[in-house]
Amino acid sequence: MTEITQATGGLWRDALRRYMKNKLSVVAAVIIIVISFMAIFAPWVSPSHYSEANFDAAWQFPSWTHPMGTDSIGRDYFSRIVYGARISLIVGFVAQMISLLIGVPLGAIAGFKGGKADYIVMRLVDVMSVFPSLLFAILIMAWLGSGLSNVLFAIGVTGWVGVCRLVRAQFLSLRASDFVRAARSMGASNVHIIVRHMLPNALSPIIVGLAMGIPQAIFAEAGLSFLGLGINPPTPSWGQMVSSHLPNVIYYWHLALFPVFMIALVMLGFSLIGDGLRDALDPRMNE
Amino acid sequence: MRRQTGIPIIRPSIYLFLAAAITWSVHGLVDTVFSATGPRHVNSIGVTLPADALPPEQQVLRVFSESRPYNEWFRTVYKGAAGKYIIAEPLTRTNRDFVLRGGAAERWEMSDDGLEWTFHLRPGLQWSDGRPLTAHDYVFSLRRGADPENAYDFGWYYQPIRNWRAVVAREVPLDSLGVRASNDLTLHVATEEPTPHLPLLLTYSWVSPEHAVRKHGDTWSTRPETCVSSGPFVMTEWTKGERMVYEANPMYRGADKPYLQKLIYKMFNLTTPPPRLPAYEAGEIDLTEVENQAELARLLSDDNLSDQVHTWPNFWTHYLFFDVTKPPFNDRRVRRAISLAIDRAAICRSALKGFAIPGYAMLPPGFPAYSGDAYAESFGYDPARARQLLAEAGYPDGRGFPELDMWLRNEIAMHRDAAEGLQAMLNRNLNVKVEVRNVENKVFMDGLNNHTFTFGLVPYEFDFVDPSNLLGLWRSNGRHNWNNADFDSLMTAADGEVRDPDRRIALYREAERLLVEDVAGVFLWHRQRAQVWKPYLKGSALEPNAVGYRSWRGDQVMSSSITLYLAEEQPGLAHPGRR
Repeated sequence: MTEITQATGGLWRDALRRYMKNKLSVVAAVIIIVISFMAIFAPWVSPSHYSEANFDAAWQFPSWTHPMGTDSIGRDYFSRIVYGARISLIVGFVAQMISLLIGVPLGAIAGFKGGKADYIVMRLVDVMSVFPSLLFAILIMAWLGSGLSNVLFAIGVTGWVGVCRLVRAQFLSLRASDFVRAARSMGASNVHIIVRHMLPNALSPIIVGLAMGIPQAIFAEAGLSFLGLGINPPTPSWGQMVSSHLPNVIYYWHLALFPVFMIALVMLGFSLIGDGLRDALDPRMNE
Repeated sequence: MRRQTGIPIIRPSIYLFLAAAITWSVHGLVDTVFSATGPRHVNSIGVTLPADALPPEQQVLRVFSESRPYNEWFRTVYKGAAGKYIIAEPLTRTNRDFVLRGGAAERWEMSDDGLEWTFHLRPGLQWSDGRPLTAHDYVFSLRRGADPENAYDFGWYYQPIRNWRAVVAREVPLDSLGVRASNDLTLHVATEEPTPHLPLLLTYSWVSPEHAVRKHGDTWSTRPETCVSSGPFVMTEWTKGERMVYEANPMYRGADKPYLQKLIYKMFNLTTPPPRLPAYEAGEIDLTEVENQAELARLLSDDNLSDQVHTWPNFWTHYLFFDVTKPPFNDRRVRRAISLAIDRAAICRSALKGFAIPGYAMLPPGFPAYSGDAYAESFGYDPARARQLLAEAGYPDGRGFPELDMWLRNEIAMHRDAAEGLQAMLNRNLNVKVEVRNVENKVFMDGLNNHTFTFGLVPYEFDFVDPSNLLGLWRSNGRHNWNNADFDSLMTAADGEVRDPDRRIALYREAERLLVEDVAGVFLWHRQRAQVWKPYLKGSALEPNAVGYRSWRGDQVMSSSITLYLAEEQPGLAHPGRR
C-alpha cells in the first residue's frame, strides 16, 4: 500500500516538474492567475464601477486617469475590462463544468456498457456534432433570451460532445485492461470499478480537455455577446464590447483594441496551459 | 423652378452633335480664357448646365446603394432599389424648403366639402417608350397599392383615400377605391375625411406603367429592356448585385430635367457593407453617409476632408413609450419623473455626439408647428424634482418600483449606447433598475403592436413635412395605448382645417402640448445626419434650406438628383479627387 501511495504522489510531482520545465506554459499560468486575481478582486482593482457613467468625459483616449480611455458614455474602460474578466472566467469554468457533468457520465456509460447504451449515446453525439456548436448555442439563446445563466446553459449543453467522446474512448480501452478484469474477477461492482479504477486512469485526458475547452467556451460567449445574444448591458462582456465598438476602431482604437487583446490573451493562456498539462500528465513523456 | 427651361425640347440631333463637338473641343480653351463668361455646356437632353459645370460626359454621379430585388414604388417600398424614385414622375413634389409644387400635376383643387381633389396633369407627358403618361396610370398605380393581391408594404400611408382600408381588407372590390380619371389629364381623388395635406401626401406617388406591368408582370422594373420610365432618368443597366446605371431620360417631358448625365449606384448587401470611407477617399464614389463618431472624428481631424463633412438635422424623433394603462406608468407623475431624470443634453454630447440634438416634444426644430423649446424647462433635466415626483407617486427613493425592461428595436450601436446612458441616469437619479433589451425587428413590432411592452425606446421618422404625419402616430388606438379624447378631437379638427392654415398649425401646437404635458412619451432627441461630399458637387439641393435641412434624403425628395451637378473645383485646374 505504501508503494502505491508513493507512486501516485510521484506521478503528480513528476507532472508538476515537467510542467514547470515548459516555460511558455508557466508564463501562461501566470497570466491566467493574474487575470483571475483581477476578476476576483475587481471592485478593488478597478478605479470605478463598470456602470458609472461620466457623460462629460466620453470618448477619451487612454490617459493617466483612464488607463484604457473611456467609452461613449464616459465609463472608465479599464474598469469595464476588469469586470469583463469576471464574465469570461465564470463562463469558461462554469460552462466547462456543465459540459463535464453531462459528458463524463454519458461517456462513461457508453464506454463501459457498450452495446445498446453505447449506440444510443453515440447517435446522440452524432446528432449534436452535425450542428456547429455556436449555431446550436445561438438557437438556445434565441429561445431562452439573453442573460448570464442562459449563456452558461447554452454553452454548457452544446460543449459536452468532445468530453463525452474522450471519456468513452478512454473507457473502451480501460475496460479491456488487466486491472479492471482483476477487479471484476474479485467481484467488484460496476460503480466501484468505474469510480475507483477507471475514472482516475482517465483523469489526465479529461483535465487536458477541460483546459482546452475553457478558451472555446470563453470565445463562444464572446461570439454570442458579439451577436447581441449574450450578457445584458450594462454588465461588461469583452465580446459585447468588441461588438459595440468595432466600427469605432478607425479612430477610437482603444475601444475595440483592448477587449480584443484580452480575449486573445485569455484564450492563448488557457490553450498554452492545456498544452503544458497534456505533456506533463502523459507518463510516456518521461525524459 | 429655379432652372432654365426655355430651351426648345426637341432639337435636330445634328445641332446637338455639333454643339457637343464644339463644346468638347474648345473646352480647355474656354476654361482657361473665358471660364466665367464662355458658352455653357448643354447636356444630352438639352439642359443648359451652370457656368461652372464640367462637360456633360463628366456629369456622372457615383454612390453606394443597397441591393434590393424590385424597383417600383407601388410594388414594394422596403424591397425596392433606389432607382424607383427617379424613373417615375410623382403627382406633386416639394421644393427644397418643403413647399409643395407640381410634379406630373401642374395644378389641383379641392371640392367645397373638402372631400374630393382634382389634379390636372401637365399635357404631353410620356413614358420612355413613347406612350403617353395619363391619369389612368395614376389610377392604376394607386389601385395597385391597395390591391390585396399585391400585399403592398406601404399601404397604411394611403389610408386617407376613400375606401382604401376597405379595399385592402377585401370588403369592397378594387374599383371602388376613391380614385378615378375623368379623362387622360384629369385625376380625381376622394378622401374619407377632409384631408388638407392630401397633395403633400401624394408626393409619394411614383407612378407605375400600366402597360408594362400588364405585359411583363411584377418584374418589369428589374430589367433595362422592360423598365420604362416616366421620370428624369431611365435605367440602362442593372448588373445584379453589382451596379445600376441610370441616364438622363431623353423622352422625359416633365419639369424636372436633370443636369446629371448619368447616375451609378454601386450595389451592396447589408450583410457585407461596403468600405464607404476608403472608397470615398479613393475617389470611387462622390458622396456617402457618415455613420458613427469614429468616422466623423476621423474626417474632422483631417485637414483635407473636414471641409467636405456636412451635418444637418433630420426630422426624426427618438422617444420613450409607456404602457399607460398599467402601474407604474398609469400615474402621470411617474412618467414625468422619468422625463425629468434624463439629461438629454448629456446624452447628445456623449453617446450621440454629433448625431443628435436634444428634443422635448414630438415635432423637431424646423418642422411646422414646432414648439419644443417651450418644454425644455418644465420637462427637461431636474433630478431633484424627479425624485420628489416619484416619491409622491408612492416610490420614495425608487423603493417598490418594479424592475423595467427597456425594449429597443434592432438598434445600431450608437443608440444602444445611448440607451445604456438612459439606464445609468434612471438608476442614478431615481434608483430605478432598467434592463436594456435590444431585440430583432419582428419581436419588437409584435410587442409594440400588441402593447405587451411596458416601456421602450423607439424612433419615428417623418414621411412628409406636415404635423399630421408625426403627431398622427399618437391618436388613440394607434401605435401606443395612450388614449386621449381631447388630443383626438384637436387632431381631427386640425387635419380637417382646410381653409385657415394658421389656425391649423395652432391646433397642432395645442395637440402637441397635451401630448407633452400628459407625458404620453418622453421625447429625447432628434437625429442629425452627416455626409461627406466631394467639393466638386454643386447644386441648390446641397445648400441648407430655410430650416437648415438639406434636401438630399436618398433620392426621395428628388431635388438633389435634379439640381445636382459636378463643377470645376477651380476653373482650368485638374481634379485630383476624381478618376
